Amino acid sequence: MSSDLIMCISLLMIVTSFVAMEWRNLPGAIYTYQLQSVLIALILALYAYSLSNYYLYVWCATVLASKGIILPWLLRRYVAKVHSEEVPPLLSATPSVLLGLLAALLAFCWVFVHYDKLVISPNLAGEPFRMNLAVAAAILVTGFYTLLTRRDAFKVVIGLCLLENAVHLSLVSLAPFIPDTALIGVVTDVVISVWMLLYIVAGVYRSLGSVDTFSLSKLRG
Amino acid sequence: MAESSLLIALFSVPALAAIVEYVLGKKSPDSAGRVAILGATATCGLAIAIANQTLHGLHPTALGQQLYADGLSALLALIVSVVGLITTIYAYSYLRHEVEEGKISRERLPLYFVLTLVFISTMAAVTVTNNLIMMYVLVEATTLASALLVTYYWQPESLEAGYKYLLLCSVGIIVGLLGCVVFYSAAVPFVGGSKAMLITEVMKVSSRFPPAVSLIGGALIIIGFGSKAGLVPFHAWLPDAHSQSPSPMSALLSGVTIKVAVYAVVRIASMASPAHSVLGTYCVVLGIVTMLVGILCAFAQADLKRLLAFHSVSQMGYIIMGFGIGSYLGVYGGIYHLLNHTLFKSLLFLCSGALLYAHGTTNIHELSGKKHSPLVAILFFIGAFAMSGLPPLNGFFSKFAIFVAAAQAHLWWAFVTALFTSFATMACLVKAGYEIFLSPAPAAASAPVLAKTTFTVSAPPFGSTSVAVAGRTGTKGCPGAMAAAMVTLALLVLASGFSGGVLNRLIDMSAKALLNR
Repeated sequence: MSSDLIMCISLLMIVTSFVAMEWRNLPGAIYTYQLQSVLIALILALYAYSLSNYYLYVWCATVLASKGIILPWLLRRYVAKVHSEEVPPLLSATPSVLLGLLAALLAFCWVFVHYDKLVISPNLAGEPFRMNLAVAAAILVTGFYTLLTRRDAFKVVIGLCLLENAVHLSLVSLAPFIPDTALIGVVTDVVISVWMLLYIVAGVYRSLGSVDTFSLSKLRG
Repeated sequence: MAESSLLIALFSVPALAAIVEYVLGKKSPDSAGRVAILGATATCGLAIAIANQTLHGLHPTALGQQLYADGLSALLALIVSVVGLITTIYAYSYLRHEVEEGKISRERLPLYFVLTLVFISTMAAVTVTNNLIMMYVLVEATTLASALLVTYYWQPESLEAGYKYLLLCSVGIIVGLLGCVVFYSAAVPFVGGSKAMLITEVMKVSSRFPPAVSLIGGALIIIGFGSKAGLVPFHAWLPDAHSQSPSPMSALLSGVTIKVAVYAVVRIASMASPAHSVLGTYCVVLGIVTMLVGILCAFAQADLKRLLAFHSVSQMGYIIMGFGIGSYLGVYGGIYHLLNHTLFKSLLFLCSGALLYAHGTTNIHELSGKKHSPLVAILFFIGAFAMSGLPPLNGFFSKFAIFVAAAQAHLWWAFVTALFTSFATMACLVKAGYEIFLSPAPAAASAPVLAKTTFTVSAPPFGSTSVAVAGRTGTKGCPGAMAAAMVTLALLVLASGFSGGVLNRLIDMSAKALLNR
């Protein structure tokens, strides 16, 4: 039962990745990212329940606090200072979605098919681990795709957040018994790196009057 | 293995010094840097003590083996602490001059030293961590600690550099984390959950990993942490970050930070032994491409710091090629070149800082019309010749080891490309050095000054000693502390080339540790 639920939620995460990537309204994209983070926390809670692993509840709370609350709050705070509409990306919506879907599908299928070669631990064999890792690969590719095709610095930061969510989901799939100390270190790094990036982007906006990453070379005068 | 609190102290001492520096800096910005020098000196002492232990055959551990040091860790800890100390001493005078010039405010001075200490602390921690996931956490922490140093001047150019640096390194290191998790997951069935975090434990069972796991884990580590090491095509952040940082920070970034990233790559990727033949070839190709792209871009630069930054990219190619060859000699050459590059590149960046200090520019064409301190000129050419691999300087020996290893492995294409790049490096640096220090000044600048080559020497020795060549305009010498820092690095460049001894043993132990001998 919980295995099916985990698989459904993880598939829903792919949808949220695409919405966060394609939604030109930045506050909307941030809300979608927030929803995705809550979904990861939910997956962790379900894992904790089904594996009877107390540490995963702590992990769930950490993810909820950092990715579900702190990072969206930081993103909203900095976006509010600048603008709400994304700088137009390199590709228009339809080709962007099609290309992104193709890349995500390839990544998903590759990991799904080769899962048994990649993961040798008998505890992690079969579902929902296989599906989770395949979803993580799809989100990872979506994150990279966002980084490569978006011109808006805030959207690029959201792309980085998607990448981090993908790696987090793969952590759940490959290492559900990872110690708390390492996990807290990972989450702390993520929060600080996003916060610093937003701080620098705000500085760029003050200097350039724009957050278009293609205009960054103008900063050299 | 023996429990040793030295490993904890190695990163705790600079972290504590950062707190003290912050508190004192708040009260009195003029005192900025004093605690930092003390903290860096203490860290240096601790690194020497750890190196001494490893040289005596001990492998100190701490916190239940979460921290561990072997020859390679000790060597990297020495590199971090020695160059950290030298650049901190240099920065003490350098940044005060920038305050006088109005480039930075007096209140901003302590921030540099606080962040530098945190940066040294995180890099020192990377060298002794034995935990796979903490390796990611700490390498990312070095990026976070240094990002605000890259944007220290908070000028538009430095903001662009900081944005690229933070974004590209963060993305790369996340990919590195994925590689760490792949290895962790593969090790769990053999050693259990808690021990699978320990690099030393995973190394013991890594030969039993399926080739697909080794290949994918190793590739993710090389691409991920390699982006922080400036390997092509993830090097875009490096020239901007190195050229926009304060010069002592450029020396630390180029001399140490990218080496710490290489350390993370080789420490973890060496677990991928079942897939070594594929990954090794990939590393050699990556190294060749990196050295060629680096040197070609270096030729196109008009700014000395950007030129040196592209040379860093190029030299990283040699290091990764050495590791990729995978024989004892290749790995030995890679580690030796890693050490040598730290020394001569830090020296060259400090020389560029001295030129910036004296003339307010690092543009090669603008510098060509000025008079320069002969000391800076001599030190620059020592660094340049060492990087070019001119015998008997240190760069020659490490490159020679890599060339021989490539020849022994019948990688003739790699051998020829590396040799060609070495000659190109010399041509590029000699051209830059000649233009800055020796070429006749442009006709327009020559009118009001000396008509022929003269040398003038006056006290203080480092202050106004100058070389004036065919009509160059005046100079402002650098303070004794800056000169002492550069001379120390030059002596280390000479010493690491001429004398083997302790360094040779450490490099030998490092190579054996990586090859699991």
